[in-house]
Amino acid sequence: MGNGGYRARHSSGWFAFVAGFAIALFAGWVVFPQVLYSEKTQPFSFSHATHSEDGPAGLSCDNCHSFREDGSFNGIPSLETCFDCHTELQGEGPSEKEFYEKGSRMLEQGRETPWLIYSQQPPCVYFSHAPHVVLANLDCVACHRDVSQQKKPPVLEENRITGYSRYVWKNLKMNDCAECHREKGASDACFVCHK
Amino acid sequence: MGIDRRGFLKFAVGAVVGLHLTPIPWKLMDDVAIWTQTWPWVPDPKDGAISYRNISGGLSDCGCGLQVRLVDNKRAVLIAGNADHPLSQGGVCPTCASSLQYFYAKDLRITSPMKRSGGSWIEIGWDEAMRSLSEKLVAEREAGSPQNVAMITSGADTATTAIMKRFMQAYGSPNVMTMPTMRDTSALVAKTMFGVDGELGYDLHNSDFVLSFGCDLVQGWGQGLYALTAYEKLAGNPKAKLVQVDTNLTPTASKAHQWIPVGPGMQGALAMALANVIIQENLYKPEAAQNTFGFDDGTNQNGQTFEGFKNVVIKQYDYRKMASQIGLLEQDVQKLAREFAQAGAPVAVAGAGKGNMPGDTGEFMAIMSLNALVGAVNAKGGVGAVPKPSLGAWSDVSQDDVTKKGLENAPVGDGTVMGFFEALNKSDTSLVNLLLVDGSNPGYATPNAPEVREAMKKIPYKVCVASFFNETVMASDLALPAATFLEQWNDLAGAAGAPFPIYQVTAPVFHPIYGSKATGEIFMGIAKDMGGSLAESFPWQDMEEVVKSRADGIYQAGGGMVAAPGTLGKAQAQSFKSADDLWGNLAATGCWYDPSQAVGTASGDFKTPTGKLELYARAADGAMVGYTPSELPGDAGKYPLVMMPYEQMWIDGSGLASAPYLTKIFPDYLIKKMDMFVNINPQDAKEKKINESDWLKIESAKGSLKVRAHIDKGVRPGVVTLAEGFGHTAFDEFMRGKGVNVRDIVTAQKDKLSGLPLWWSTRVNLIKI
Repeated sequence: MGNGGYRARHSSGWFAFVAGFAIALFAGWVVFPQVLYSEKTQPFSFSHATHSEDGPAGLSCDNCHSFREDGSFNGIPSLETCFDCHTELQGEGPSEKEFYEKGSRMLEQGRETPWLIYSQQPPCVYFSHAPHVVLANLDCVACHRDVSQQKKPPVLEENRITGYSRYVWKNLKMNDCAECHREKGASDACFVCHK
Repeated sequence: MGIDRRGFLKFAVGAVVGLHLTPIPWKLMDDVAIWTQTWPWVPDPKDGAISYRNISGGLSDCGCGLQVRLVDNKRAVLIAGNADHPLSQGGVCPTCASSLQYFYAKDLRITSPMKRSGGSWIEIGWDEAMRSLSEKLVAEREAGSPQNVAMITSGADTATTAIMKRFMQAYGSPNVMTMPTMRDTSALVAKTMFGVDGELGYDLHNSDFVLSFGCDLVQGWGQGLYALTAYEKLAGNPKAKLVQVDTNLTPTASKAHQWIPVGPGMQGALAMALANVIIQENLYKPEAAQNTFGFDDGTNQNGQTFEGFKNVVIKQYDYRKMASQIGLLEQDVQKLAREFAQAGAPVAVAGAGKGNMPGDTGEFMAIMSLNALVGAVNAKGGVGAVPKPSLGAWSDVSQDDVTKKGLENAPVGDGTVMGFFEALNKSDTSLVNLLLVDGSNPGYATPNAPEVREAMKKIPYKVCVASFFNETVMASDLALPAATFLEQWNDLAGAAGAPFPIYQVTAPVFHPIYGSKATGEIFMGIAKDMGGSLAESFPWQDMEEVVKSRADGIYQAGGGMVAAPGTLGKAQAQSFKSADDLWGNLAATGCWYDPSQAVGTASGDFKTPTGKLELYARAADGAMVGYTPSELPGDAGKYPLVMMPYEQMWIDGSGLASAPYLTKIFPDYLIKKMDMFVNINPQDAKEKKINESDWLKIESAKGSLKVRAHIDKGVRPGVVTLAEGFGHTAFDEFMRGKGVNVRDIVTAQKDKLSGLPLWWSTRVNLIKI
């Protein structure tokens, strides 16, 4: 009887341990990511597919994303650049109508489109596109997802603590940068990125 | 099955072990680290297209050529030097470099028209503010007493001050005053001795012997960057020499090849003693006699004979007698005079400190006579009178009977700011009913500032047009937010000490922020609302038209060049196709100058009645250049020491408090937290049993200040020095209440020739507390 009691207590103890372990794993791997991120949508439903070389607009990437004269990268084009082409409605789709009407008003008011940036880095990170694209000859997709066929912008999962996109977590974290630097023989010293 | 304590602990252990195999602790740690980067006070410069705009002038019209760096044309992130600018050559003075902090500081700027109500300020709209001011202005004219309105404005020659002065001419009041600086003295000497409407300019970059009479070149004397680049050139030329005549070991004295320590106010005496050696030893150039009027005995315009400069100097200023008065050895005076006279391109420079305070006109004239003797006048590397740039002539001011009658009145006081407030203090009545203040801070920057603030209380209504809450605004009844140099069209004619005529234009970089308006447009608006002759006097719609009308004179006169890239050092007259062509270039580069009229390049004709440099200055009622010893006011027994204020590079001289960026570089022997230090020679400290950092009361006939002691061998025995630019009671938390305002206790004397206040020396006593 005494041995049986010990076994029962022993097995229930393991059960409690495993239960705690499993709940923690579930909370950490399933619940935590859902709680940590909120879903944000872009202010306009922008289609890269429509604008790309294969799409109706037939633009190349550097029509909108290009280096400025001083070598800095413009990132997302300004609203003014968009309205170089959207001076009038480009098609009859509801997204275009919405962009044309709201965008025109914002342009008049001197406001910019508050695009959400998936690859936004914290200000402590000094990043320049020029050495990566011009010198190292990296493709855009080496760091960014391939957007050429993307018909609508993906939902941005915003980290509730940092305010940055979850996408950064996936493949634009410091270790990813450092690993690539090591692979390519570029310096991975702190001061290369943290000035 | 219940969970006992043991079971619960096992559960918890399992959860903790499990937790460590999930991203929770590691991710949270990482995210918290990144979160610290998102705190609002962590600087996060906006990313965007960088562009640059050339502007000029800065917050205090110092004349720096500036370049603003903009992100997406919306946010200014840096003010740096314009490398093509002929004076500053890519440099930037500390006030200009830190001015963006002022521009964006919401707690420093006046963000709305405000009126005083009891002890506090109430925000009001522009309509109400303009109505309040206009009603008072109209009432004075209706009462036939426009002279009861007075104005104090900046001394700089800008389109804004030109509009302000014109407003008063059209309104009908003679009470228009400007804050005095060294440039007033310089302009008076240029007029009196050279007959030129302009100011003294020095070709410092080409001189090989600069004899500086107290000009603190390395602290940014005159146009600060011009002086600094000149110093750099002198220091880098092994054949050049810089001799600094200064009472104390100023930064320039410490960096000069030689320091000549003279007693307070003895610069003029030394100039005459040097002249004496040069004349006695026949070291003067023959043209000194040919090109000057009054060198030899002669006859004045009234037919009376006078004794010439040469004989006066020989008889009255024997260097052997003068040397002991000055506090120097005879042989040192003699040696300096010989070296100066025999140098290849010598020049003697007048105007002490940074040049923010007026100088002794007699001393300036004595120094110019020294230049005449050694052939430095209008010579390469020498000195000359640089004419004002030819600005567009405006039509005459339209004046009705009220205006004409008002202007017939004599100004209150003697026409100077200090004279005005002195008259107010002496009077039982207010003397004026309305005071307008623009671009200046007389409540802080006028000598004997407490008396000024007291006198201001007598004036029933005071209106300040200002960008920041300064001491004068705090003492006024209505505050109108003025646009800063980044938000309006403005210009700046001339620059202190510049060797050639220069004209700078600033186009607005931004639309006015914080509800501000261009000062000139505020007053043009009032004039138009008042109608009649006032409205007729202002045919311009806005400040752009005003500046353009002034710039048109530059085109009409022809010549000169704009500071376009690649033009620096290449003196080539440019031809402009039209006035609009010049205007476009001016607005883009921010600067026009005429090197063909530079000192040593142009013929430099004298416009005096005699057509010569006048040592016997007919324009000044026959004043002969000389040195007149002047006794400092006050009881030498009660106040045995002489206090000399000193200026520093980080301190603006116009009454603007230093921006927070600059407060970080104040050394702790100047200011420690809120305590300020007076510098005293070890000998005096020993006599008075004063130790380093002791608390002292520094007392003059005008009042006393509480300071701490800093014992400094660089201060002359019998002298104490106190920094200018502290003791603000307004502005922000970083400067308010920091140190003391030396101008609160100075005893200013009136310069005999200009009538301007001089406060380089004040009798004081130090009392240990």
